[in-house]
Amino acid sequence: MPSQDPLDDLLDRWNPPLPDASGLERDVWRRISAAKTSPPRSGFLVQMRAWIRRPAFSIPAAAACALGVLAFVEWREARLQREVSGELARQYLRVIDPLLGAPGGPDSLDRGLGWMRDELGLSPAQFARIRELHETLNSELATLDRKRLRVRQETAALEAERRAEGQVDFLAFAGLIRNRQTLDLQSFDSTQRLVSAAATIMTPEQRRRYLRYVQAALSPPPRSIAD
Amino acid sequence: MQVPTVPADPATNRAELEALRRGDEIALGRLIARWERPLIGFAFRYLGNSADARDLVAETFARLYLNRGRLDADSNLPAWLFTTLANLCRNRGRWNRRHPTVALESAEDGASASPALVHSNEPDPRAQLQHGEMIEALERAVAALQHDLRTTLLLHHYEHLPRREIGAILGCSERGIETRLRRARQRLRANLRDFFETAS
Repeated sequence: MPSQDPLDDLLDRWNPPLPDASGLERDVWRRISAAKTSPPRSGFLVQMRAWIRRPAFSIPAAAACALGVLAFVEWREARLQREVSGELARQYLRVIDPLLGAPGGPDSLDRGLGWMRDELGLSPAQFARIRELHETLNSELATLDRKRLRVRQETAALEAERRAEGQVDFLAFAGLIRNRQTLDLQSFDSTQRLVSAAATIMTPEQRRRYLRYVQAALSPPPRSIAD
Repeated sequence: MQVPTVPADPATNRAELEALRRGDEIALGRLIARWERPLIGFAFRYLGNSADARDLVAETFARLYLNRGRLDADSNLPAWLFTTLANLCRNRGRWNRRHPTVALESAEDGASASPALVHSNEPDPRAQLQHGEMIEALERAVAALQHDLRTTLLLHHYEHLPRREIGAILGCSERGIETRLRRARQRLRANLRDFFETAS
């Protein structure tokens, strides 16, 4: 009985005369004997290809590649993190010790404290107290920094006078040098007090890491006259 | 309705496969005798070329013999044969698309791809011509189907394999075969819409 679906009717009517299958078995045996007598494929590349295709190799190799990519990404991330962390640490040092160079900008203190909190894992209470200490010191350091700047300008004016006139008031010059050394020592003292106060707020492990970072700021200022 | 062509006795399949695994070379002859027609029918409808169909079926049997040691006693012989042949057909189809040739049988027969359908004693040559055109359009529409859809349609409609077995050949579930079958038929209907409208 014909189907109601014209597509089925058409499919049923598609009965092409099939190719002659006589001699097929002979053809099959000819192929089999040809496959048996043909020399096995050899050569380094062929063997390598066959070896690579084995699941015993390809699966671990794919896993190793994936792990390698992950390890590389992880290493790059860690390196980037170290670079960022190092830069923030340097900024922090400049904030607490003007002798190491001018601070990076008005928000350097915030960035430096943020770095401390993340790097040392400070609790909110620790962070609040440490922030308070830094803000107090910051105004003190700013005053010292202004004084140091004025001394530097006066020294530069004396040097210009010496070059122009061939003579200089050495007593005034020595006074400026003494002033500058006094200011440097005051800065150093302020920094030391800050570091000591901040360290007492921290746990022993935090303190150990913190002191390692601020080691550069704990060296006394040089006593030479060169600026 | 088509008469089922695939030998459907699993016990015989297992026995002959077992004999082949033991090295009984005559078993291969028996397998060829039982399976050559369905395999050639599938390959011919898939590729539309008798030389290619015969070549690939011979290759399938040769591979069966050469790989007999790797087959389990419980291996599904129809699934193995049709999987191998379908993959060979797909590769040959790709090759043919990249290296187009003119088939000798088409060139000799002129416009008619199915000369056996036109008999001199048929009463209505116009109906015969229309029928031939529809079959040609069907061949083109089947050839335009993707591998999975084409294989599903041919194995289901002409070889009458169960959906579970087609799923084993194509590596998908019975539900997936249902979906493929539905899509194949939708695409055929879409491609043959003009012919169906003219006929109705």
